[in-house]
Amino acid sequence: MKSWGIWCVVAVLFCSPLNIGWLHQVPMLHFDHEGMLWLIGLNEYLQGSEIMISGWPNGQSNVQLDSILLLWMAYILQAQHYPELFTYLIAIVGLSLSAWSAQRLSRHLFPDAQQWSWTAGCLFGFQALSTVSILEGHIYLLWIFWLPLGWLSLLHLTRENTIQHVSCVIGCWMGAVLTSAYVGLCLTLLYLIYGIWNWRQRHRGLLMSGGTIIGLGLFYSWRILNTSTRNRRTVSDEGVTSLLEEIQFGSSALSNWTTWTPDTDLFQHSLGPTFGWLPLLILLSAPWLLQRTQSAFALTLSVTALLFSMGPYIALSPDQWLLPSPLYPFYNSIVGHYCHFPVRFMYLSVLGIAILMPLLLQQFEKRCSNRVWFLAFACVFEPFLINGLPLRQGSTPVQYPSIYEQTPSGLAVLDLVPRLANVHLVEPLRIKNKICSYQVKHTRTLINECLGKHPTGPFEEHLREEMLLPSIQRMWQEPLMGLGVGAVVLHADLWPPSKRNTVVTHLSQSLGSPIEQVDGGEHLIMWTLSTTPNDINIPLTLKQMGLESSSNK
Amino acid sequence: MRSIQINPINADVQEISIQLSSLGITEQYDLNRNNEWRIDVTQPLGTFSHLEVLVNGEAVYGSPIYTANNHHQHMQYHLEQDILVPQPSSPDTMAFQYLWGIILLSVFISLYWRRQ
Repeated sequence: MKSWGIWCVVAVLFCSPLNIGWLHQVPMLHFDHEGMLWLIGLNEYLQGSEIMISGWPNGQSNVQLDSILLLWMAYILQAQHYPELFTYLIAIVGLSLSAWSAQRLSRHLFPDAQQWSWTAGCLFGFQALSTVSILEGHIYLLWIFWLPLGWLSLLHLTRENTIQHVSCVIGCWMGAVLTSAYVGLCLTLLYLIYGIWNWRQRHRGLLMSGGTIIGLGLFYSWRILNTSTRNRRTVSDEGVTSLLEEIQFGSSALSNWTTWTPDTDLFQHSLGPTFGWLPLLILLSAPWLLQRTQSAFALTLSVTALLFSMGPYIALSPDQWLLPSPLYPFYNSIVGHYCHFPVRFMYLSVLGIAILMPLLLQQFEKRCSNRVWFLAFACVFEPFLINGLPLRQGSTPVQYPSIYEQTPSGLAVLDLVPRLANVHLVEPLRIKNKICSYQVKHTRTLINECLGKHPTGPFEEHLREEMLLPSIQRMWQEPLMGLGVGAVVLHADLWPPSKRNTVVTHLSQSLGSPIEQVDGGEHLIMWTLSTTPNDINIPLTLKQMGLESSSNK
Repeated sequence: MRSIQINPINADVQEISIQLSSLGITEQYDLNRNNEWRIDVTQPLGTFSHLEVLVNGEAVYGSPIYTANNHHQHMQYHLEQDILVPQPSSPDTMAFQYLWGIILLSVFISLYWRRQ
């Protein structure tokens, strides 16, 4: 407990940009944090496999939700009352437990190098991808302590073969899968390589845990693959050139292994550095500096995970591909369709390297102590300063416009934004996530689809396109009331002033006079509809609008 | 007061102005070399703003822009392509990062020699 407490203090220092004003702003740079705040703030509406709070009137399936653990924890701890603080606590707990568990693993593997085991904690817990996760806003991806704990459980199980250790091995795997599918994949790869490496030592406990994990894994995959087709969209729907390009963008490239540039934050969703100088140099030098019997398994693990992290192509940069990797034949398979961020395999790669650091320092301690102390210092200096979290964070205020609270409760809200396919100064996903984050306060049902990685749902797209046609195609009041919509909200700041005025005039003819409000960081124009329960007839309205085939049900 | 910097690639163009619309207020700012191609925004900016580039009074480019944080503070306007490209505003520490890499590399090489 004492050492975990120390790691908590280190985590607070590492997250120092996060500490500033956590009640009103979040330091993440990208739009995923808004999606995460939505998940935390609306946790009580997201239980069960079908949700109706977004994607009205069809609802959405949450089977593909990335972090079920985050959802459950938010529910148990009633985090909707303090979402920003909860985010911060998740980060501190995740970072400190990851460092603590890597330290424990290193102590277990190399008891002679105990005095340096803290360096393993530093390198793993505060690795480059932790910085990336904070900047992206994927705070739950800091919960990677399942990897060292899973490895540690396997070591205990191999040695002692008790039901307690079988439970730990299975429990860690389930924890990893529930934290994120990517963390689950990393631990599955670790277990697989461990199983192959130690195939001679198989005993009943290992076979039992292996069989259970295979069974659970098959069930989990079946659940995801059998999600109703409305949650699946093709590559062309997503507006990207190709699936291959999308996967390469989410893979590690040689150029982002060790460094980041300001362009990384602007154009590459802060995906860099993914590995770091120190882990890379340990990986390159360990075969010559360390005894093979001690380091072979960790290095094999690290190199395999590194290869997986590069995706289908070994690339110099995300758009300069050099040669196909062994994973190339699988990119267009079902795995490729669901695994768009192979870079997350770096967690495992860094773990394999981090636990070797204490061994390296112990072996050279007596022969060249100055250099050893410098390397120990580097374990702190690189994560804290070279990876650049303090320089790169952008404080984003958390604001909620109050106009939504004037909409009739129990009815849906349609948010109107312009078509953003050809603009590049604001990401459509950011707008979607922002609109969804307002729901934390107003809790009205949205036509907007808040789950999933697509900027818009097909049904909302259809409504928007129809409603924004220059000539009035239909009087919109009746169909919207039939769909159970209580208000239409236009996000005025996203439109050029001249176009906005035309749209407002056009919609006012159909929906009546709007009300305008400027607060919570936005200028919003809202039309309220006097929808009553008797007006709502969703199947009939969809049929009248000819939307049955285009709706996503 | 926020400032937004926009560097036109074709510097011969003299009359460029920027129209910013946010929180219901629309303002026009002259962009000229004397002011280092920078506009000092006097209006309040919300989460999003709409930015238009006007050359000789004619709107040639328009896009919503995210203005809740300093993510897009510098931009480069490519006149011929009619495209406004965001420029990095965080410090470029690339040289320092490489220097760090070289120092570490030399330490590891020295460890290797010492092992021999």
